[in-house]
Amino acid sequence: MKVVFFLLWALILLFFQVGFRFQLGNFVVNFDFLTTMVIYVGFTLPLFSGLITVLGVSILMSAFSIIPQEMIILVNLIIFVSIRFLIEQIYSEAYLTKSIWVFLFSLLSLYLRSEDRINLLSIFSQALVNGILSFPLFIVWDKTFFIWLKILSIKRADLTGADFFQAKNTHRRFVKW
Amino acid sequence: MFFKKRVFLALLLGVLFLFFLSQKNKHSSLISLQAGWVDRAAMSLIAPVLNSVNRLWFFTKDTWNHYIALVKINRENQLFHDKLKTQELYILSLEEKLKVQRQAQPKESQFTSLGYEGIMARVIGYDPFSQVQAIMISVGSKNGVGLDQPVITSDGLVGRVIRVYGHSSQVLLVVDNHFAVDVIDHETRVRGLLVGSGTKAGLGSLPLMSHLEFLGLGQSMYEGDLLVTSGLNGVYPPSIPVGNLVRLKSSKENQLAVLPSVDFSTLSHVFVITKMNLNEKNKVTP
Repeated sequence: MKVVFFLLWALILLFFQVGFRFQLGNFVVNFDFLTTMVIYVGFTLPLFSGLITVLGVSILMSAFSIIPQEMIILVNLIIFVSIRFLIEQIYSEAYLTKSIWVFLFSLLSLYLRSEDRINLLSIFSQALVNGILSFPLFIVWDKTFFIWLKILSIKRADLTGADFFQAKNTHRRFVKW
Repeated sequence: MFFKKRVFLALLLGVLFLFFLSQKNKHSSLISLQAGWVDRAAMSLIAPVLNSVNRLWFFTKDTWNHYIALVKINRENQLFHDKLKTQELYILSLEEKLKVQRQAQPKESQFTSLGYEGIMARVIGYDPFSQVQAIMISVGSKNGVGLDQPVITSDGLVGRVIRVYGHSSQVLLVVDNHFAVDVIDHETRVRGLLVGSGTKAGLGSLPLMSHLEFLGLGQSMYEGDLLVTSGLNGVYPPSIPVGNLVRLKSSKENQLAVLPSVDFSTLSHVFVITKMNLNEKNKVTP
């Protein structure tokens, strides 16, 4: 269910990522929401479900890009595993701190993906945009993820000791000696 | 008494007539070039008065024409000024409409008249990664689009189709580092290979530019020269503008940067050439 939540968000945000691009002088920036999502997944999901989510998001990205699919998957996995590896050192509840980490991991992601297209000014500005956008995005994802889990997770009954005793007795009733 | 007066007047008239005749006999014509004492006396009396009157007249006339009458002219001038402004605005709005129409909705006939068969397409998206210079267009294999077909606008070459889906395609732009096209200098006829931006080209900080490679030694090109497709590789038709040569302060030695003819930031419609029906005179053979 967690994986589905992120894939749905990825589908929505992909429209904005693909549909808009801004040229600021000599460099180009866009809404790189999916890279930010990979970093968010690194902060939020455990290893196994996180890996599946990153894989799904990477495949979605590669469907619209001319960069080879393996390259996109590999770079996103490197980012995800790096965050999981460093999570104890870098984890913070503060959104501002998370934005700074988004900026830094975006720099790494863009650098790895750039190939011969390395343009430090462009990479820096794109990472900066990612960092700024991650601030509201992380808040929205946190809120919606909480609602999603609340709606779709398996409901557990609030059992007390008396219920347990009753259940035990009921059970006993049908036990054949 | 009356008689005496008449005789006196007749005598005076006679004297005056004789005086006139005597003066006339002195000169052959009635035009005298030498003023007599009477003339001079009369002139010295009348001339200053005439001069003053004349000055006063001209002063009044001048004041009237240049100041009082100008009120009307000023109004008229204002009216013409307003009319001119309105006309200028009208011309500007017409020019703007024409530009918008040309840019926003170029018609197929613009390109088919050049001998190209193809289809108009809208730019519907970009590559998800800002470093990659590729666009998505609204036509695909169902519309007759195929791989490696050239994509142009009325400004020049946009790129070539690199991925084809049913109803959409992806186009690699001329400024991407994976793009290359054989070009020729419109002025000096020097040939070269135009390659997109990239760090190898020393254009790392200019992702929206191209550069030239494989130029022959001793060949000269000048800043501002227009580069057009040579048509030699068979993929692109000849004589499509690609860009202009520019000199960059930061560029490497012998590095020739090219500013593309197409403004990719405002690109909204493109034309995909699906078939080239070039005239015999336009055909280029290697």
